[in-house]
Amino acid sequence: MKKNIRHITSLVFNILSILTIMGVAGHRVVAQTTIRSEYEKTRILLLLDGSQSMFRDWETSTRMNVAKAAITDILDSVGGNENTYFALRVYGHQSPENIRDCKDTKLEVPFSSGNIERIKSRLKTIRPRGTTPIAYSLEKSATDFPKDPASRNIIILITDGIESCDGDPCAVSLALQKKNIFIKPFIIGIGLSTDYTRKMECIGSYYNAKRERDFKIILMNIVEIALSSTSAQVSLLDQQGKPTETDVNMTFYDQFSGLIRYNFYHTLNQRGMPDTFFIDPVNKYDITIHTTPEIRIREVEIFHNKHNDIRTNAAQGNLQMELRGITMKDHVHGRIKCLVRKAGGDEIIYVQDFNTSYKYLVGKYDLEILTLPRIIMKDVDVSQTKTTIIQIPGPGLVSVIRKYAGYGAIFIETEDGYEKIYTLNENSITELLAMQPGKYHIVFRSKNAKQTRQTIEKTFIVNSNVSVSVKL
Amino acid sequence: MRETVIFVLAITALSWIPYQINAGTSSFYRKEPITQILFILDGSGSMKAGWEGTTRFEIAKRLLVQTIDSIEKANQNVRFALRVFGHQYPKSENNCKDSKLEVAFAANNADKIRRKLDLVHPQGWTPIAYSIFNSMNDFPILNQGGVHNIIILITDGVENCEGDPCAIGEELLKRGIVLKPFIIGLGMDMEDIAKFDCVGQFYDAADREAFANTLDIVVSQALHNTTAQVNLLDDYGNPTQTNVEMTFYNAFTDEIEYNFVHTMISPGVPDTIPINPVGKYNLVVHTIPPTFKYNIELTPGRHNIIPVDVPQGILSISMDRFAGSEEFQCLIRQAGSPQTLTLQDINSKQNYLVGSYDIEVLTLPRVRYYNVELSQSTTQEINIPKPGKLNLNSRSAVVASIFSDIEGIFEKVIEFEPLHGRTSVNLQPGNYVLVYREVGSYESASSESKKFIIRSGAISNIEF
Repeated sequence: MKKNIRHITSLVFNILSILTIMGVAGHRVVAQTTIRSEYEKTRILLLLDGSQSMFRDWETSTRMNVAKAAITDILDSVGGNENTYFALRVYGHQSPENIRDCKDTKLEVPFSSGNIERIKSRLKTIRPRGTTPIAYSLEKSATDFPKDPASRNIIILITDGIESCDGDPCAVSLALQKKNIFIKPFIIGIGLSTDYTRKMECIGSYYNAKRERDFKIILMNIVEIALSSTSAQVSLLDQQGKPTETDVNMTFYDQFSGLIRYNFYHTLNQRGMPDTFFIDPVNKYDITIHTTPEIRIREVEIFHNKHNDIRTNAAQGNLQMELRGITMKDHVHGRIKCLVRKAGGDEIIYVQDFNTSYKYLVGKYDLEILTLPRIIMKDVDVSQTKTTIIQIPGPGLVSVIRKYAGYGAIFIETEDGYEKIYTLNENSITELLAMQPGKYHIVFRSKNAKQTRQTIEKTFIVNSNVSVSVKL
Repeated sequence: MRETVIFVLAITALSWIPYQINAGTSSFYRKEPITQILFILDGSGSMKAGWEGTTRFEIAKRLLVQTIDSIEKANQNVRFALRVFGHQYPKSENNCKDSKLEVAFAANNADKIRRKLDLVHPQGWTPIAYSIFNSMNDFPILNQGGVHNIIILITDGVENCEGDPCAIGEELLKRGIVLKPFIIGLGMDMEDIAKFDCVGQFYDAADREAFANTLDIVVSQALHNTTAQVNLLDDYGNPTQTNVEMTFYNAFTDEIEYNFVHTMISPGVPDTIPINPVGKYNLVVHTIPPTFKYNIELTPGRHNIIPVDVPQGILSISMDRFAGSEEFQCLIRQAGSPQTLTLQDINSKQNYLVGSYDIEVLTLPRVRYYNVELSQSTTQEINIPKPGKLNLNSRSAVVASIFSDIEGIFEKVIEFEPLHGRTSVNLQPGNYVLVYREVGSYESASSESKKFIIRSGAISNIEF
C-alpha cells in the first residue's frame, strides 16, 4: 500500500508539516503566514456582494471600499502560497437596482495560478449597483470549482444584506455541501442586524463585522482557518483514566452536512500515547468510535489555534462464550449464536458466536443465547480487569421419530405451565434437534389420526452431549 | 330374593357429537345428534331363575321394552338395537360364541324387539367379552359425525367363557369407543364385584323397582352426556383453524389437566374432546403467540362449544441456495416489541396469529423487515437476497474492519482479529467500506480504506 493510493472523496486526509498560528482580535496581521499542505490544494472563492447598499458609508469610507482594501491586503500576504488558489465572483453589480435582476452574478476571475494581480485590478473596477441574489450566486459557484477530489473548496461570502430574490441560500448551501462541492461556507456580514444572524448561520459559519477594523481581522482569521489543518488526538480512556485503549476505527462526520469527513484507525505512537493527526477545524464533528457498542460524541468543536484532545471513556473488556464439556462435531444448527444487548436495552448491539471471545465496552449486558430453548442471562458484567466467561452445557442431540407425519410441539414446564419451544415439522417423520439438557414434553397427533383423543403425550430427558431418541 | 342378583352393566360407548352453529354469514346450522343404543341382554341359563313371581329374563324383557317404547315416543332421534347372548345353544354344548344381533338398528323398533324377545329362551353360557367385541359390527354408522353410540349390558353373572371384558375395553378404546359402564347388583360376592372394577361403575338392584330405576338413570346418563368441543375461529368467525396444541389447566389449582392437538372430523367440524365435565378450566391454545381463554365452565347434560379466536396467517421466509449454504436463523418479534417471540429457520413456513411482525435475519450484516403484515389464511413471502462472497488477501498483518455504508452512515459489520493472508466472508448485497491499518504502525494517517460493492451470488476480491 503505497502512500499515493488515492482515497475517494469523503476520506481526504493530510499531514501538515508547519503551521503558524496567528493571534485573533487586536493584532495587526503579521506578514506572510507559511502554511504548507503536502497533499491538498485549497481553493478559496471570494463571493462579494456588489449590491447597491454596499455604496453606503461605513466609518472612514464606504462598505465596498473597506471590503476591497481588506481583500487586497490578504491577497498580498497569502496569495503567494503554493497550493492555494483564489477566484472572485460578484453579484448584484451588473444591473441597476430598479431592474431587480435576480440572475445578476458573474465569475469575474476564475481559478488559475498566478491570478492574484488580476483579482486585485478587477476589484478596483467593481461598482455596487443592484440587488442581492445570494442563493442563485451560491448555486452558480458550484461550477466555479474544477472537479478535483483532492482539494478543499471554500467559499467566503461577503454580504451586507439578506437574500432579496426568491432563493433559499440555506437549502442551496446544504445541497452543495452534500454533493461535496464545497465545505461549509464562511460568511462575513457587514452592518447586519442581529435579527438576521439566524438566517445567516444556516448557510454556514457566520461572522458579523460591526466595526470597520473588524472586517479585516475576521477575513484574515477565516483565511487562516481555511488554509490550516489543525492538530488533534483522540484519547480513549481506560478505567484508570489513562488513554491506553486503541486499535479501533473512528468515523468523523461533518455535523452540519452529515457527510463523512474522515475514517481511520486509532493508533498509539512510539511513546504509547494517542497519535496526533490533522483535520479541518472548519466544521463541528460528530464522531463515532466503533467499539461495541459504539461511542457517539456529538458536536465536537475543533479549535484551530491549539492542539485538540478529544477525550472519552472507552474502557473495554472481554466476553468469552464457551460450551461446557466435549462438544459434538456435527452441530445441527451450526454454531450457537448469542444476542448481546446493553442491560435493559432493546437494540441488539452484537451477535456473538459461541466458542469465541469478543471485546465490549465495560458495563452490563443482557444475553439471549439462541439454544433450544433460549437461555436469557441478565446483567452480565464486563470488566477491564478480567475476561468474563459465559459457559453453558453442550446440547444433547434429540431425534424425534414418528411413523406418520403429523402436528405437535415440544414444551418445557415453567411456573406458568407449558411453554412451547418448538413446533414439529408437519411434513417430516424424523427431526434432529440440538437441545439443552433438561426435561421436555411432546404433544403429537399424526395426520391420519382423526380423533383428539389420539393425541400422544411423551416426556423425555436430554443430557449434555448425549444423543437421545424419542419415538412417537 | 336377596340372593338374586341382577347386574346391569351399562357400557356407554361414546362417539362423536359435533354441533354446527349459526355463525353470522356462515352456512353452518344446528343439528340434533342421533343416538344409537344397543342393548346386550344376557340370555344364559341363569336368567331362568325365579324373581318376584316370574323369571329374571321375563322381568328384564318387560322393563327393556317399556323403556324403549317410552323413549321412542318422546325422542325421534334415538334408535335401538338388541343383541342377545347365551340363548341359541344349551349349556351342555359350552358354546362360547353364542351371541347374535337379534334386532338391527332402525326407527321405532319397540314392537319388533318385544316380538323377538318372546321367541328367546335363556339356556346357555355367558360369553360377555365376545359379545361386546362383536357388537362393534352392530353399529351401521360408526365413524360419522352427528351420531352418538351407546352399549348397555344387562347381565346377572360373570364371564364364564375365556374372554376378558377388561381387555376388550382397551380394544374398544383404541377404536375410539370409551367404556363407561354402570353395574347394578345385589348381594353379589365381593370377589365377583371386584371382577368388574376394571370395567366400570357398580350399582346394586335389590328388586324390580331398583332395577327399573337404575335402568332409567343409565339410559338418561347415556342420552344426556356432558361433552365439549373447541372451535378455533378464524378472522371471519368460522371454526376453520385446527392442528394446533392445546393445554387445559385446572382453573383453581393451575395444574395441567389435559394436552391435546386440536382435530377436525371433517372441514369445519371440530372433534369432541374427552374432558371431565366437572371443573373450571383455563385454556391455552399454542398458537404463536399463544392465545388464552380463562374460566371455562361446562354446562352439564349438553354438548358445549368453546369458541376461541385464533385468526392465523402464514409467514414463509426463503433464500435461494448458495455455495457454502449456511442455515440462517430469523428472529421473529411482534411489531415494535424488542422481545424475541420465536426463531424461524430460513426456507420454512410457520403459522402466526394475524398481526404485524418484525423480522431480523441473522445474516452478515443482519437484514431487518419491519411491520410485516400477516392476514387470515394468506402466506406472506419474504425472500432474502442471498449473500455474495468477499475474498480478502492481506500482504501484511493489519487491523481491519468492514462497515456497511447506508446512506452515508457507517455501521460496523465485522472486525477482524487481525488479518494476515487470505480470508473470506459472506456478506449481504450492499455497499461497504474496508478500513485497515498495519499492525504496529504508529500513525493514524496510515489508515487506508477501500469501498466495495457486494452483489448477490457474486464474488468480490480485495488485495492489499
